Amino acid sequence: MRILIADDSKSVHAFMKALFQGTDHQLDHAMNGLEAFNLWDQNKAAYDAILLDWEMPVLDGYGSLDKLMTAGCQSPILMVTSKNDPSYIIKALDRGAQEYVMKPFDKEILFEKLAMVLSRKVA
Amino acid sequence: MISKETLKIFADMIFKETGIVYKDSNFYQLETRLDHIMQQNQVNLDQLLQATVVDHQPNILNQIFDQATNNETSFFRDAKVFQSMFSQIMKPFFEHNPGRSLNIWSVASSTGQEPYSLAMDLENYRVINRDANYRIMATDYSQRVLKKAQEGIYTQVEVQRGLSSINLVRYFEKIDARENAADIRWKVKASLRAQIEFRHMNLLSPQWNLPRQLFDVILCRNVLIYQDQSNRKEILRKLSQHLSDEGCLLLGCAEAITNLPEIYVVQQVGEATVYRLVKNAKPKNNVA
Repeated sequence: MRILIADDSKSVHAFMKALFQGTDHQLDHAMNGLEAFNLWDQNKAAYDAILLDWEMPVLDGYGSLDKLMTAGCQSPILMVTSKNDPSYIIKALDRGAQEYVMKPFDKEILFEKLAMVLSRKVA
Repeated sequence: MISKETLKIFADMIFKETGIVYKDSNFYQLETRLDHIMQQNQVNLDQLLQATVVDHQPNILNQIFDQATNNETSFFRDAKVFQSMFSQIMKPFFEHNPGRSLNIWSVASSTGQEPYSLAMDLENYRVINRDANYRIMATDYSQRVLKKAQEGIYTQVEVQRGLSSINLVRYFEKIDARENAADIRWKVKASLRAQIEFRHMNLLSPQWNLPRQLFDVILCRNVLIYQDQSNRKEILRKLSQHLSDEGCLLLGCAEAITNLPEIYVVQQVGEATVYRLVKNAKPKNNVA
């Protein structure tokens, strides 16, 4: 499984690497929403899931989600963010995000949410 | 460190009241729980023994029995079982029994995630079938977990375990706006809480003080695994008297009924293993 992760924090990328260590998942890293969009745009079928932080420079997570959905992205998108107000969750789900992970989270939560969106893709 | 002999005294006490079996192999869990109780009550081991074995103080005894139960749970625990249960048992029930209410019993509801998960599935279904009425009764031995279940308040970690984001925003409200994520709590909306009747119950009681109604679905998951064979058999026999003729009983994934062929037949329903009554197994009007 290939996963694209967009977050402006290097420590989050390091944490993600640690979480996925020992699995056969391949991670691609972007430091902002535009970089994530461009990586997806270069190879639209490559990603099984895209994880977007909300607050990022250049293009934020919601902007990136909007751009990806407008461009017809078929990969399930999960917002992974510290914004935990229900209004943000509703806004992201309405725009096409499949799941919403609130920081801080643990491995079990992230993997469960990934399994949730992947099982919907199969169904 | 508590000696094995002393732990055995507490283990026997817990078994007599709750049926939960502690053996040498899980004495370390019991010790941790007793340590916790001693800390909370600011007593040492001698004082704990005095309060329980000699004085039989109900307050501290209840704390011990309460802590002895394993309350591990999450929303939609064993998600595939939930999916099969909904699509192949509950949905067909409404299709084949228009106008009838589906009666569900969550036997060991712990902190409430199981009955609330059932209610969320059913409320989502009611969007397309307004006639799908249901009643959920949720019981547990522990007053502590029942209180939490009735309040329906969960941490941010708890609401992310097994619960989809769409269900979170539909059925929960954020009740704590503090910045620290560890302090944030989510509360089940009143409309969903109102669908569930919570009751205190000890499965080892000779008489189960329950409404005189039969249940179409009984969930008794991850309960029997902690009981000895004799208690398991007795609980299963009594559960059968509360099951409707076409109803089904679900156990935990690691549990099975192997020694009651005169009462139950096993059936695989998608990913769920269910137990149905053998025809005429249950004497009519003999609800315990």
